[in-house]
Amino acid sequence: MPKWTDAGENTILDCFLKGATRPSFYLGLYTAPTSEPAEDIQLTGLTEPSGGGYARIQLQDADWSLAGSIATHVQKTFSCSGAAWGNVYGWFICNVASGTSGNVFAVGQFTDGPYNVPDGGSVKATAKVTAS
Amino acid sequence: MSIAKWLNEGENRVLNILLGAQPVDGTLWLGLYKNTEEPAETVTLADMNEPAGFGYARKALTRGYWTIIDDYALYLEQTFLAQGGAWGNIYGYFICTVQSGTSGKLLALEHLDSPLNIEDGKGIKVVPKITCA
Repeated sequence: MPKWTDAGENTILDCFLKGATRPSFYLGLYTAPTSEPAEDIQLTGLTEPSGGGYARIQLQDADWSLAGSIATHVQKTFSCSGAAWGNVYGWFICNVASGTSGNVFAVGQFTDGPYNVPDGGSVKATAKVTAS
Repeated sequence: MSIAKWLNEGENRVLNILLGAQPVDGTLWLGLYKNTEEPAETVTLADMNEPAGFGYARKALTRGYWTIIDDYALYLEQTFLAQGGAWGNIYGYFICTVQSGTSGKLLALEHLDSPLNIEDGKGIKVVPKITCA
């Protein structure tokens, strides 16, 4: 099951109890670490695919569906074009479109991964988060 | 006291607000309850047995007064005073979205290790604390 990071938990409380402005959410993939990132993970601790058309994808509010305490986003497809990405181990949600200056809010390690993504391949990721 | 637990209605509301499906609540409300057993996560306001009369009323928790430290949030200490009669045993506190009645959402609660018997003229001090982990 995906999990919130420390920054994600802090942001949840900040939005819910203090009315802080909600951040934008971007979905990305990581090729390292190879095991599930710890809750204190930051963007500098994640390695993303390099080149091959890779870019984070912005998540839209309307694309989330809530059922009880679980929120699921519509599936997003990352298409690899021009160069292989190699092994992809999971996805993350952060608040910046690129770079490492933002915060990682949640991470999800592929339970049946890694996916070895060749040139022309793709990765389909369904972001899912829970509050409990 | 330690820390309150989220209830199903609270978890759902957190996600709705975080993900933009509804606006944040301007004020939350703190109440006391007399249910002897710790309520399950499925509990709603209609299930809560609150003190009746003798000065009892839920207290407003205003957004700006929460202190957030890492993955938990604290609110300023709140004092409930029984005046004119006893409330009897208080078993815990809850946080909800409405000042009174049962039409709102019950977000979180903390069940005390042992009840506090609140007699006429006595009070109970509550420091609301909730985590996200």
